[in-house]
Amino acid sequence: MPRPANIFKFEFPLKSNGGIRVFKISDNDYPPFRYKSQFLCNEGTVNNLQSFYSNKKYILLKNLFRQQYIQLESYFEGINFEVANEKMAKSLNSLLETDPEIISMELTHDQSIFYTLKKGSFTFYLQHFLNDIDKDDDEATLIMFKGDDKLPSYAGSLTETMFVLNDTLLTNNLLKIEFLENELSF
Amino acid sequence: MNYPSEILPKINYKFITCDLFNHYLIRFTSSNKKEDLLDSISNQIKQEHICSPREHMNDLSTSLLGVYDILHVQIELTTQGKQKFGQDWIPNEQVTAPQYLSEFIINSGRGFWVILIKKIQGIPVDYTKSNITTPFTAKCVVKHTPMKWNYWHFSIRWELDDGMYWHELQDKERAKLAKRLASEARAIIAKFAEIEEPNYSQLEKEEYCK
Repeated sequence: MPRPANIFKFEFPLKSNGGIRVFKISDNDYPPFRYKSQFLCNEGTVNNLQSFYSNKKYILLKNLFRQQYIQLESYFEGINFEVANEKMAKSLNSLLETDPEIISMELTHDQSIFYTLKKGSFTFYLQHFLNDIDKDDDEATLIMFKGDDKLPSYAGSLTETMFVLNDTLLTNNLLKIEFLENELSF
Repeated sequence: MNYPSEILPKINYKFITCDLFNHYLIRFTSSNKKEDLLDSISNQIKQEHICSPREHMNDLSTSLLGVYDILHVQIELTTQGKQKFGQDWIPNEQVTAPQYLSEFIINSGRGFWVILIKKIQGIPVDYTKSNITTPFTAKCVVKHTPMKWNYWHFSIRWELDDGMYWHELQDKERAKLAKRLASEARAIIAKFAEIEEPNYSQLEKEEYCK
């Protein structure tokens, strides 16, 4: 019997018109950065998930992660492969949701996954730190470029950082999803 | 084998303070194979070649490409050489050349990446964080830091908004900033670094001779 979903609401002020964009997310969803369309349809979520697992990008990067973890294992003291792999799946799934044109990943010796994403004229560098084992949500940073111009960066939890990435894509019409705007009840 | 004297500091040299925007910095890598250096998907330099684990992103060693050219990256100081020559050079100080094998070797397996200074000099770091109202700001600074083995040594550093440099902070303060600034440095270098030899020019002599 699945447990009832907790529903989280996130509000982001819109710089353009002073309005508020509202996202609602269920913690039963996996990966945890889904929007209304997936949230409302469990079957659809399962199908989407299956498509992710058959996705060549996902498989390629998952294998790459395993290879790199083995090479850099000595730098990952205190983080076993299963834990690291689970954390990686969380960030990688969320990043693949943004449908990047290019996505690559590299493990770093400071216990993080360094992702590079390209979409349109944007380049995103998201660093997911795997070593915050006492916190509920991992720490991440996001550095963004439009062409060669650097945009303001963001540091926060992985969840918050993913929202900033999604919001940047939405604001620049690079992500087409169904979202709830200025709708306060669900 | 003689040490290349053209990269040694000379008594008539001074600190370089002129505009270097159209010049390149060069940094050695542990491999000279393109497939090792570049990520095959993003076509950008791999993180492992931006900075090795024993070095620090807060004060990244590079050299000014010009008189110091792509072959000079193969010079590797030995432990003894590092002790004797791995120190800051002070103007007017006379230095001797490192001795082959005991103080330096040629590592022909080394490669390099280069970065155009104007792409990174002064580039702002401004972070927002959900629970902090005042954004954190810093900027990238390219600074001439000549060393006894290499007059053309430059450092990529990070100047905070209070005028302090990241690498000068106490351990506790430094640790707080480490993740953000290291991410920033990694991303900026990945974005702009290239592994091909660019078209470059040498600095005019009046810019470094007294």
